[in-house]
Amino acid sequence: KDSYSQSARISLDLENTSIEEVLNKIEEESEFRFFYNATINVDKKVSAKFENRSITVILDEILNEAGIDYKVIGRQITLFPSEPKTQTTFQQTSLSGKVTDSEGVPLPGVTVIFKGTTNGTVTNPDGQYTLSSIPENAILLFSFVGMKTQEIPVGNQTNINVVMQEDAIGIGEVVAIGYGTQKKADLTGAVANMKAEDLNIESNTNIVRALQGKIAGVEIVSTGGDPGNSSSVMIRGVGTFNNNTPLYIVDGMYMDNINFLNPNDIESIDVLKDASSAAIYGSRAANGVIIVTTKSGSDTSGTPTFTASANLGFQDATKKIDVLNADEWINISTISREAAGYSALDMALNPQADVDWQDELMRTGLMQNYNLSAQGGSKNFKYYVGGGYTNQDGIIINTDYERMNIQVKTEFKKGIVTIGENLLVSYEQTSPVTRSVTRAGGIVGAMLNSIPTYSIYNEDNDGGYNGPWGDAITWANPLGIINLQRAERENTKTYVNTYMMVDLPFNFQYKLNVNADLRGNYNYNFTPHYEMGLVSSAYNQMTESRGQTKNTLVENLLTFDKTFGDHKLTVLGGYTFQQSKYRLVSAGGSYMADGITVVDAATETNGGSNETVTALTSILGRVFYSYKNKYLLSATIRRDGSSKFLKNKRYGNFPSFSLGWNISEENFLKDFKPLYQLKLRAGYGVLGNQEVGNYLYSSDVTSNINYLIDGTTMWNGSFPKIFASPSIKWENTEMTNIGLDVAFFNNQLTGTVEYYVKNTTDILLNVPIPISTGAGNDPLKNAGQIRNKGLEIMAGWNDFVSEDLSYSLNFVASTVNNEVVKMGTGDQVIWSGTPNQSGANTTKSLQGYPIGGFWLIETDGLFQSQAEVDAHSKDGVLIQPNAKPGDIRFKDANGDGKINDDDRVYKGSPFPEFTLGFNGSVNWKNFDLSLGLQSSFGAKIYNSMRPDLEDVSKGTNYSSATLNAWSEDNTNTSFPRLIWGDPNQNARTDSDRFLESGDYLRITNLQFGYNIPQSIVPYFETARIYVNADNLYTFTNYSGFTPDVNSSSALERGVDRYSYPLPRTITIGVNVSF
Amino acid sequence: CESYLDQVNPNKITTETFFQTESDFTQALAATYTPLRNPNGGYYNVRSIEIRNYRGDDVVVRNDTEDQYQTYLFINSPNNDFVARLFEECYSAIYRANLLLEEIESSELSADFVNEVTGEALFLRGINYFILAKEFKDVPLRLTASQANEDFPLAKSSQAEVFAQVESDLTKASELLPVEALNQGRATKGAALAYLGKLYIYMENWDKAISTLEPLTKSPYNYSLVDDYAKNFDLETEYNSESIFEVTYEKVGAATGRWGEENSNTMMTNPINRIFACGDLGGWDICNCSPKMLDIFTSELDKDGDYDIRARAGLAWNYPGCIYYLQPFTEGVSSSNQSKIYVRKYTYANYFEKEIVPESELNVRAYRYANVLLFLAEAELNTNDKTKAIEYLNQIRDRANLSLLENSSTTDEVMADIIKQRAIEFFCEGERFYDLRRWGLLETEISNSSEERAANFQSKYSYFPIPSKEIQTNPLCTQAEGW
Repeated sequence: KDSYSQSARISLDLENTSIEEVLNKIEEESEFRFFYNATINVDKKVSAKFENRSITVILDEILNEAGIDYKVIGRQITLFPSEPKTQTTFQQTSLSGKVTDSEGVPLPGVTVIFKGTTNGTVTNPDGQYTLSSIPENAILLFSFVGMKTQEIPVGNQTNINVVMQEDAIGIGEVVAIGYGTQKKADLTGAVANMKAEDLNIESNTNIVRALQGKIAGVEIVSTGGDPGNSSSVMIRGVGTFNNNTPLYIVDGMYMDNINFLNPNDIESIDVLKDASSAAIYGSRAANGVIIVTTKSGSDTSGTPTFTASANLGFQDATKKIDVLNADEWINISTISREAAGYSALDMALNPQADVDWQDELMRTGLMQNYNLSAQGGSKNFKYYVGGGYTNQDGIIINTDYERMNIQVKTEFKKGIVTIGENLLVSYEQTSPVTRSVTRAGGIVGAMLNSIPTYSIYNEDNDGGYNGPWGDAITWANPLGIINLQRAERENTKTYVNTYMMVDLPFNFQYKLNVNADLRGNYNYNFTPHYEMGLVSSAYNQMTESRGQTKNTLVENLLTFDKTFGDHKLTVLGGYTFQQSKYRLVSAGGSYMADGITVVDAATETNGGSNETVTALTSILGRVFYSYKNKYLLSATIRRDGSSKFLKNKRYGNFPSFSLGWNISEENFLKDFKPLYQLKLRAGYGVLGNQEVGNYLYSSDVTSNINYLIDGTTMWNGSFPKIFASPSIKWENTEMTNIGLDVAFFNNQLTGTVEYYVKNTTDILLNVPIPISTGAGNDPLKNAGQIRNKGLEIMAGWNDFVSEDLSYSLNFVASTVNNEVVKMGTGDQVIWSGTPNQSGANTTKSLQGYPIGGFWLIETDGLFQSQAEVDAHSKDGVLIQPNAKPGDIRFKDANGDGKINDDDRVYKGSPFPEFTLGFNGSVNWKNFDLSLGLQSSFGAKIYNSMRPDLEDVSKGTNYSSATLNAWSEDNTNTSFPRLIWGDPNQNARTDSDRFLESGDYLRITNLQFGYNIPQSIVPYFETARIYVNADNLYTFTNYSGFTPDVNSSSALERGVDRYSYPLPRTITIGVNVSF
Repeated sequence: CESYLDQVNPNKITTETFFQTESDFTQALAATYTPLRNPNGGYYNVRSIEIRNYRGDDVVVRNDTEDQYQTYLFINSPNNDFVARLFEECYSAIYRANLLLEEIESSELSADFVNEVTGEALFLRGINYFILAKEFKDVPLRLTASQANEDFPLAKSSQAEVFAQVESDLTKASELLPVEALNQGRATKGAALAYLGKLYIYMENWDKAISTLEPLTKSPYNYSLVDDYAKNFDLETEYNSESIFEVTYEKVGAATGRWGEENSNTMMTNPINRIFACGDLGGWDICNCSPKMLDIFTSELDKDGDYDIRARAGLAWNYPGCIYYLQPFTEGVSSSNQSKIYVRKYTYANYFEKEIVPESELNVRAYRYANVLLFLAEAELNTNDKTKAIEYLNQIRDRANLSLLENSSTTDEVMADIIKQRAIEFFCEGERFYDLRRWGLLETEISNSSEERAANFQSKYSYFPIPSKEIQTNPLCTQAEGW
């Protein structure tokens, strides 16, 4: 073999030039010499544009069509006429060709064998192969990891060029790993990849929800169905008491969230789950990294591809909470009042109406989505342009969401330089449910608690709405509030990315990336004057604020990528600098004239502004090495410097390394045909978390602690009142990951198992300190240590039964075991999880237990008789002196004869023991059907709506559970007796009475589609209509709106407050491309 | 790029440049007063005024805001939010006073200025510890400002030890403070003595109470009862001759920040007015006068045969001629509410047709001269000087247009009248519950006020429990007895 012909690379840029001139040019540029005689026609005009290509690639392209064949011997190349292709009886003696991927890149290492034999070869680094001794009726098998195996009958061909197609499951496809991409086959870390087509974006205005139940180890729970609301994402458990949000990288840029994205613009989503893959993002990657890659242009030879889609959906509530109607409420409240010796409430004696407040406030919401895109390009220019519009009405009136997106991505290539840009503009407008109803719980709380016996309207009242009266809790009339008060939010975002790549000699490439991400938030709230009985607003008032964030990021990256025979080496080095500047301006005003909603018109005004600036500088590096695609090694390092810490705590190093072994490439397994892939991966890495507030280390003086003197004089006060946290440093997360990938039967059956241990230390903890210190705040300390251990399984099965029928099944399962290993001083605990209104905390985080575990006083049934009350005593003293038959017996766990905080015991974790996801699809002829299921088992939920709705000692509406309350005629029940004042504190919030199982199984998605044949719609390449149901049904015993609750704080994630009900969405839509 | 990482907080100045000039100390002093007026826990703003009054037998409370209602029903737990906030505001003032005292001592400012600041800081530390001992009995006694972890755990001191510290602080303060306030609303020598005298009353140290309070009745002090009782609750007569210490409220600040605390948008008003006002007239109708208390109010008519002026100025109920919010009671108040007895104090019932202004600008008279007189009466009676006691008591009766008490009245009769006059004079001013407690009458009076409350009441409810957070974070601090 001659190495020169294989290693020499030639670049040509000739257009409409004769072959002879091309050959001369090659002779000038290289050491090759051509030999040919007069029978060879070298006058044919050709175009020859090549960059760093091998001689065979170039000659194949320019000579084949001219009917010229060639032979390379050393540096000498002989040209001769091609064999006529009509010769059928000729027994071939040699066969050659080139194997490329779908983008025309030569594929080395592709196995080429004659079917039924072991004879064959592999393609060389240029993707070329040559075979001799061709058997009769030979069929060639082309196979390559991650690609579909192809069978091609040889027939009379002497040159078979093959374009390999990526496999449907695609372990060979390329995934984003941060500052670059990697072939899935080369991965050594835990990276999950989702292509856009695997996400049901049709009915999801928000891309995050589309990921629910699809990736093992990625838990996505709703934070309510408020239109435009996000879901919370946890990757591999909760590793900190602070911000658990993963790092979002959209086209290379750090983002706080990805709600603003149009799901239709998304090409793929990669989740870096383990430290060895995420460590390249260093100090911000402890919660995992979600990399979103948006669509790009591709070489379509200049002809664009257009797509258009539209859908229309209807949303409604999956559930109503069962509360009392007027008659039931009058009855129950009166029984309760009379039991305590009070007369019935005036609202029960003089009912005005029978209002179902849920019916009044909830509706079927309309949802619309429209998208257009154009995608295409040529060799030197690629583009993607996408535009989208989404409009969604919430299922509670006067709540809605609107989004407009435009994305423009272009890339220009000339010679060794590529320049491109990515422009993403979005506008979101929301009317959230946020309103002031005088009590914690908002509109949803008011909707459930409002007494049914008062009429909604009262013309005599300013504003026209009625309200509760008498000894009733002042839950404001929710319909009045949501109609009179206004709340608007606007988010605008402009993300601009410009980059330049230069191909340097010796396989180096330099990339300069300049990003600017400008974000504006606008908040507006308006309350007019109104009267609704006990609730009133005396005058028009408003607040508005505008925040602006300017994020800039500059990255300098140098990569080296080269294959030396069996060795493949990729090296990355980079320096990045990021700065984020935020400024908020706010204003408020009161007493504007009716109809005027600007602060300028207010007679009383206020205003303010503040600013934060943070900066992060980083050096990063990565080495990837593979030997024979069998042994893989990857190592990364990142050094971050952050402005959030004091000088001597500022820098952190975040290294990682991981190893992979493609066992299936070993000789002892190569012949085991059913096995397609078997890879063992193991990695270790260190990650950081710096998602804490700014300037926490600095000790500063708070101004405007003012006091009034002399009647009207403001005495300006200032004081260094904040307890500073000077010694804080990075949180540190170490993670070890072991994974095994298997694939059988040409990828028909695939599976991945991962096990990890994630230890987070130096967790920044707001360590509560005694109130008596005088601190108004709890300073931060690096005090906690949390361990998450988990097992994740993903399995898939694809079957192409026939041309008409195929199906696929995908299954994911994961478990996370969360434990606080150490906290603060060791015996420190953090209480959290207060119920809606007030009352005792329900969760406690402490050493040896999960974060936010429930610690509650155990209930032990009801007292059925006075004898039972009397028997519940200690040393002759009643443990519950105020109890009567029908009251709840609480367990005196510590046996001190009292029921108090010390009787709390551990009652369960807010974390599921395991979660399962299933996604299946069937294609039959032009029809397709897909189903998504998601479930969670073992989590506990504290339903904090129940202390409000089941406490019959207040003037609110009650849960229908009260109908089954204990009485002398109804003793076989768990619901305590009805008594106003609740002397036994049956409704105490610190008992396990309101703790429920959060187990559920949800039909997340069901979709039925039909691809309209081209014979009917000839103008379209594809046309599909579908019906989609999202969040179709949830099987659960949980009594709240939805069991996948998540409070924003890790310390109380299992506490369900009055969250906006999660809607069911039924969508019909059409997608076309042409 | 190191310089990029050197970010300083653009919103605040750092401590290094503070506590240098007189202006710095004056600002720090203002910030030490501020906890008294913070709406959610300040002792003289809405939430604490509520929980100071709700435990007495003189009000009935509607079940609307759980935390406050729990204190009324005697089912409050150590988790009660507003009790915790009261605790927090006191300690926040104490931390500031401690740091201020440390910094002023090491400063090189003029002796006059140092004395001025020291006097006010001691006054504030003294009254805040007095509040704590009064509400929680035994509490941690911190006399230095420390942000060091090792100083955080601290055991409780007994109420007697805390009282001793209050005595020391207020005594020193009274030596340093001026007779005339530097500004209206700031501490004076008279205020320090008045609180010190009250402390002695609570300690039942009658002699010291007399020697401390008696000077306030004469020169150089100019305290006197205002002729019209109602002037103690009016806008026009703030800082009057009867007012010894007063917390100022006015619509100064921002329109939207009435619940705001310690920021530039804080509205310097007090939302207490709506707590008491009738629901039909723009109030929240949360707290009314109890029928039992109305009986006390109406048990003696004045010399003209009218209801006691203090009933008419302090209450509105359905009696002939009752004007409430500038209209006859029965016109403004709907029929279902007409049986209620509304509290007029703290409201705008004399100014508007409705409680349309949601925040009150009425100053809270934290300490009135009437209290000095009734304390003196009580102290004299306990030191067996009945004549002097009647003399002081008659000043109160006289101002209320009641016939004067005869010198022939027995000690028990005088004491009974002191008890009654205190109930009437300071109705809803946060005195009754503590008076009943020190007189040993709490359990009796609660038991005849409401069956439900009586059933719940136990002696542990005489004081608030230490808030949960303190117990959970301060390993040396134990919960109060019985909790």
